[in-house]
Amino acid sequence: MLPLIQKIMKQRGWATEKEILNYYALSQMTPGIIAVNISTFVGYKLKGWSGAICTMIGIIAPSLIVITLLALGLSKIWTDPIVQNAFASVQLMVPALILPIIVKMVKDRATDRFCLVLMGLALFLALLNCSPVEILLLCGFVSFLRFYMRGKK
Amino acid sequence: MIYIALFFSFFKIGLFAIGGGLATVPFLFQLSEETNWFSTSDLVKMIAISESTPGPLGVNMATYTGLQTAGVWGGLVATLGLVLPMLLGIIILCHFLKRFKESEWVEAIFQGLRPAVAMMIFGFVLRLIKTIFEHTSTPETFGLSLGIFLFYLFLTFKFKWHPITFIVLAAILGALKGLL
Repeated sequence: MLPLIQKIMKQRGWATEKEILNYYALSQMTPGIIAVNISTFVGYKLKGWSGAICTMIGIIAPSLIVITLLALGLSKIWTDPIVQNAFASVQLMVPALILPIIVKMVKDRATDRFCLVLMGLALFLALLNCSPVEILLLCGFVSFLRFYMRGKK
Repeated sequence: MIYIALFFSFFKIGLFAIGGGLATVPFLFQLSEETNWFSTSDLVKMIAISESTPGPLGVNMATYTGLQTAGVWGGLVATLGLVLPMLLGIIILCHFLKRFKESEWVEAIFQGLRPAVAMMIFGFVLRLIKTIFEHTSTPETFGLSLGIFLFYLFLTFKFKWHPITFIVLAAILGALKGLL
């Protein structure tokens, strides 16, 4: 999605490629989904909070329209035996689709031993059925603690 | 009120989901276990549909969940709940942008969160695989399901196609298998 955003923003003269990369980095450090955050940054840069609201509406509109129409149209077909067979197969494809993304995430993020320890901790807690919020708060706290201890030395 | 419950559930997800759209998946999985709004199988449906339609995955998931739970208005309310914390967060952030950018401790915290997010999604996938095999296969068909799954894994690691290609392929193979 990032290259598409960069291309359109450049065409419109709304933000340079470098600005978008900056927003991308910031979006990784703010709550929420990256694509939505980037669009909100651009809107805010151009027109303040009203611009941010406009770009946000823009980025959620396709989901709202397409998914609503699709779900309403599809609601009856799920009971069809052929569709059920197709879906049984798709069910096996979904985790297979996500695993390569996780491998790439791990490759990108496992930069040092501390990250590996955090990863082990997060996976352990996730498998113990801890809530995602608890895991994030704990890992965030541990990283902060490490940063704080280092600063003291 | 279902709308208020939907709004706040997704507000929480919007506030804590950090990263790409997949980051919302562990939260939705937890939601499916805590409420009777949708099942794990519905969640897999949502992921498959979201991967095959335009729009960011997380937003699609919010619309679809809300829609399944409380109709068209539910979809709207859940989606707005999801994006509101992002809007507020960024407006506040832009006011303090310079200080925030240079703040080393914010950077330090998020450096710890990113590996955690990856593993949360991994944990979800592992449990998802377990659930899928429990639900869709009997002892006789377990081998076949496992074989299909490994074949799909081979495809997704080997080829860099768009997700929709993989999903359509799986759907066609599944439908054909049913016809045999």
